[in-house]
Amino acid sequence: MKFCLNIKSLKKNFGCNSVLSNVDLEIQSDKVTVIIGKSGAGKSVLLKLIAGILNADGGKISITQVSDAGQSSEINLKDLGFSYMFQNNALFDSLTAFDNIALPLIEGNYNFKSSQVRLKVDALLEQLDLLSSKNKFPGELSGGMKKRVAFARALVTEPNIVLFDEPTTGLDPEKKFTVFEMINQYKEQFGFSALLVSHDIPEVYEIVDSIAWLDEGKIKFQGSKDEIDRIADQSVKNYLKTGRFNSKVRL
Amino acid sequence: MDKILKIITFSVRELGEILLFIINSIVGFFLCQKRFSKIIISSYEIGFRCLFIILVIGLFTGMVMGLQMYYTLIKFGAESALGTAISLSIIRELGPVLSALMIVGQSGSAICSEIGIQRNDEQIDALETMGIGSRSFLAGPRLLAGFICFPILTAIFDLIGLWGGYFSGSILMGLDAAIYWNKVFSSVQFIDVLGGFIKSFIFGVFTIGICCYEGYYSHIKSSYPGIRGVSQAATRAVVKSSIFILVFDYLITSFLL
Repeated sequence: MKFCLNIKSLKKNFGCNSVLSNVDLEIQSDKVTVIIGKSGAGKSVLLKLIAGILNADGGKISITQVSDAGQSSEINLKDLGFSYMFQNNALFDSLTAFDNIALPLIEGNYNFKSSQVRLKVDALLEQLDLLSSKNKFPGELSGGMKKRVAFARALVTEPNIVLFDEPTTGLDPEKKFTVFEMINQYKEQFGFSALLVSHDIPEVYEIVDSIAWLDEGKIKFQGSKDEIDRIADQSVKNYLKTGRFNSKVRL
Repeated sequence: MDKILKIITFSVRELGEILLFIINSIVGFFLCQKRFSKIIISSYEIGFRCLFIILVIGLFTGMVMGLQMYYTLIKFGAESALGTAISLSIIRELGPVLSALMIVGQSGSAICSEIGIQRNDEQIDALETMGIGSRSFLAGPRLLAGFICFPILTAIFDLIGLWGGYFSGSILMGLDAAIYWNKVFSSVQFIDVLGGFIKSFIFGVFTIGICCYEGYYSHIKSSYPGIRGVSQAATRAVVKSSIFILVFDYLITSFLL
């Protein structure tokens, strides 16, 4: 499904602290878009506003869907079909990996029979190499496995767009690479669009089609990875330089 | 005067918000019919796990009352009224009130903390993004379990309390057992039992509602974020529930008498 997610003049304040003052962003279908920016710039807030977890104080988020016949219509994110992968995975401690993944199918607005749910979840567990951990609780899983379970839960509803909130937080460089590779691989396999928030420069560049730079409550740049290297803005240059330096130090 | 008015306005607004939270949770629960099995799990949390404490508190409340009332009544030569005094006090007042206070202390604080931690861990946000009504999912089964378990636990408390009174009044102090039980059966009317059950139904829904509400909004209502905020929420839940129990016990009693 072709769509375009448009954000116009989005604003968000927490008390008298303005986090997002005027955000304009465009996200195309079948692409991986990453939002980068300093800590506290409001990247996660922007993602939560898009997902509807937080309410905006101003501006508009709209999604235009284009049918195969070329007709365009405006829909909301729920109708489009989306999933959100949280920074700390947000898995339910009292549920097994299987039950965590099956949760949206059983409790959400779907009418799957239990046999259909079992088939769907088992297939996903197999694809994500989690079959051996099927009956384990999140507390018994490693960090990487938890990420994969969270990822499986995000994919089980076959969303058109997946929002990732810093999916590599707390992982070592090798695991970070694995997570990015996983996103890339499953994007090809399941055919979803992705919107990421990440600090991992330049590692994240390997999988993205579009980069948005959020600073001082605004998107100051949106373009491809080649374009961002040619940008003249000193603050962006400094940020990218620090990111690359940190990456080298980590390696 | 202004301060008192503010406290009253705040309390009424808070009670209204809790009532809306309860209605929203229960309606959402009944609209999604896949969750009825969760009532069993919640009943275990609220009911079975509180059984021991209800048995202990019920027994000793009855025993203390048996002793105290025996010594008071004997001064007037009215020790034969011990069965009447104990049964009416326990069935009308102490049973519903003490059971509710014990359940809030045992299960209510645990429910509030669990939901608060789920809020902290973004599990509630995750439910919303998955299209699952978080209130009906988290609070709905617990509210209905409270509605079912509070009267049952109150009935158990009443029975054990009467036996506690019999133990201290008859076995220890020597009052004739036949007199004790005769007074118990002759003085307790259906309206007394009904009054006790009405209280426990109301306490069940509202106190569990308060605990769920405080946990659910622990991120907004606490002055600290994180775990400290959850502990504040749990304290608030127990305090508010206890105040609710005592204030509404008075109001319901004055309505029923």
